Amino acid sequence: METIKIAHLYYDLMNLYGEHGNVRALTHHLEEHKIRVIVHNLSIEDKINFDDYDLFYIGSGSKESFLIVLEDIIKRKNEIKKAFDEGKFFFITGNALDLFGKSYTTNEDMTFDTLNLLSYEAIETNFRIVGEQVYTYPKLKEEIIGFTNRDSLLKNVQEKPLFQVKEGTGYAPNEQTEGVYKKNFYGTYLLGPIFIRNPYFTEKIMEKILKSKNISYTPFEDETEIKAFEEYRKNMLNEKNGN
Amino acid sequence: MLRAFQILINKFLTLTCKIFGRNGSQFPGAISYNINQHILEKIKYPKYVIGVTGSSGKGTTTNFIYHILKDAGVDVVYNSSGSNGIRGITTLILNNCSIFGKFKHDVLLLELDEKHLHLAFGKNKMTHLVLTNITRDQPARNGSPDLIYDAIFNALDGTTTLILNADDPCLNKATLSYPGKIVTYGINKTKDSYNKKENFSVDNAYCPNCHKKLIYSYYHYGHIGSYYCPNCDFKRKTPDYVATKVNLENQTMLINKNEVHLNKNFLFTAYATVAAYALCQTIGIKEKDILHALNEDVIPSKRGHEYTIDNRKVTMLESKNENALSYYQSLKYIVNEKGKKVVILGFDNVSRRYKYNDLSWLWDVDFELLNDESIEKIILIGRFKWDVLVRLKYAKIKQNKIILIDDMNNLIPTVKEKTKGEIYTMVCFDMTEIIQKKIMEAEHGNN
Repeated sequence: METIKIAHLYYDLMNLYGEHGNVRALTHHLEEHKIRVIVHNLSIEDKINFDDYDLFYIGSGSKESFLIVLEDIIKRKNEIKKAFDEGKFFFITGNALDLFGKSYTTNEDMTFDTLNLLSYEAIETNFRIVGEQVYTYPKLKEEIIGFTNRDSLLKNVQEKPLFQVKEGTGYAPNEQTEGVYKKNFYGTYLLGPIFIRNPYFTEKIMEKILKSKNISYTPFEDETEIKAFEEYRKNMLNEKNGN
Repeated sequence: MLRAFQILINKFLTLTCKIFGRNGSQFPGAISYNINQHILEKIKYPKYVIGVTGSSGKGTTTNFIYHILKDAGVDVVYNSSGSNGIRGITTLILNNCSIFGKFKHDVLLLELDEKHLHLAFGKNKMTHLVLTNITRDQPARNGSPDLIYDAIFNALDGTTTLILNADDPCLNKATLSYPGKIVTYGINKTKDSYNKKENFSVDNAYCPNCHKKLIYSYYHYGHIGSYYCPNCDFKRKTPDYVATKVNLENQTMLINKNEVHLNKNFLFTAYATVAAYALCQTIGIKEKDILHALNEDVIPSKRGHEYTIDNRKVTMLESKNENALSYYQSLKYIVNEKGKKVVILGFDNVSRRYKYNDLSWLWDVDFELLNDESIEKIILIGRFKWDVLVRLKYAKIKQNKIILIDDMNNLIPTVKEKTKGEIYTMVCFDMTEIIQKKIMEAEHGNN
């Protein structure tokens, strides 16, 4: 039986919106595909051997937590770059996305170097970007639903976007795309357990993970998750139409 | 002149609301505040202006303080309606002023919204501020906990005496930098305290001073407990007012060695009691008067109407959405009660304040606690029942325990026909009202 090892990085600092739900969803779906899953919850000062893992996850945190994490993760820059180049999976949600570009600039005009894995610069805003989001993902007919609540945006993004914006805000106000996609790096500002709430998208991800392990993919549908997804979308549409 | 005019308008509008049977706790203040945002700066305040704020427990704490002060014969007014924003506060203050702007009572006591502190007391400062806790709460409005902290402390300049919960490292952070006087309170280890290595729902796991991971000797809930930094001297020191031997079953505890009665068997009640005790003694209320108020003229426990379905007791536990600790309290309470149980859970809207329905907080709530054999059925209601069902599935709750209700008219018949034992509702205000209505209709034919 194939094994996937997941590192949930900064699980205690970057878990502002129940993000450990994402790791639970990935685990659940992988197990349904008959894969053994091992999850390690890791945080600052922990010894982390990036070679040991197939998949890395980081969620959202407060600004205070973000800066603590940045101080720690920057020391692991070379190892992260190596893991990324080797095609390991990175699932990065919420403001953790701000860790992976060239720099992060605060409202006080302080600029911190970030991991420099991707091209963009992250800028703290003096306003919050809050709201329900509906996006689309290439080759997926079902939409992506989620929520954003943040005070940062991206500038000078060169990578391919992960999503197209249908309703809501892109990686910066007035942008029609959201998220970043490169090799096996998937990053989005969407917060919370997006893999729970988007079972169709999660299965697209499963397809890629299985392919990377040379395992053939047979679709799995979690009926409850799908029903929750459909009901939520129906509720949103009803609200929009004033019902 | 404008001040006198505004005070009169405020009183007139309040009276008008009363005549027409409307809740006039917000509207008059909203008008006054819109006419002049600086009106509250022009009031001659009494010797004691006491605020109570925090993510949860501020209403209960305010009620307890009011009870003790009133019992001790103090002339005090407070926002009993729970209107804790700038409009409600303006209404209350102006209604209790002479037309010359002098506040007419000896103590002004206010439950305050964290985000409205600077609006109400931008220039004039409170004499005392009680801080209950800072946790994740309504993030679409409040952002993250450190932003709530900033909102509170940006409104303070050191002239206000703080009475703060030392068990909360996020509040205790103030002891590092706040220039004014600080009185602390807290609760020592209880039999429900726990310790776990990987705690996901901690808001302040790291030392605010040197960023090392805090070490906890125990948690009461969330990030509230006893902690220390392994690297510097930041820690929970023994609080000035400390509750020990908390016995929720007997509803007793000791505060600085005096036995004190708890009016309910919640840990939250113990916090509110020790906070009220600390504040009252700080402003000079005699210990014997405080103990008399708590132990003799006990605080009435607000039970309201007792509901039953087929003679089965219904316990309604208000659970605030987007506040995992509020849910945790309800869950813990239900599990600790004796007998077989059915739990009703769900919501139509995440918030009353905004239209967003972010559901991520469901994953912060310890629904795993429902995996208790005393809980025989769980009934899910409301528009988001499927999302709650997914959460319960991940909590590994057996699917045959769960019933989904599509039509609220079927709720009571389902409870009657398909469940046994005592009934617990764990929902927010709006749903509580709907359920109460359904019970009244079913039990008394009151349509």
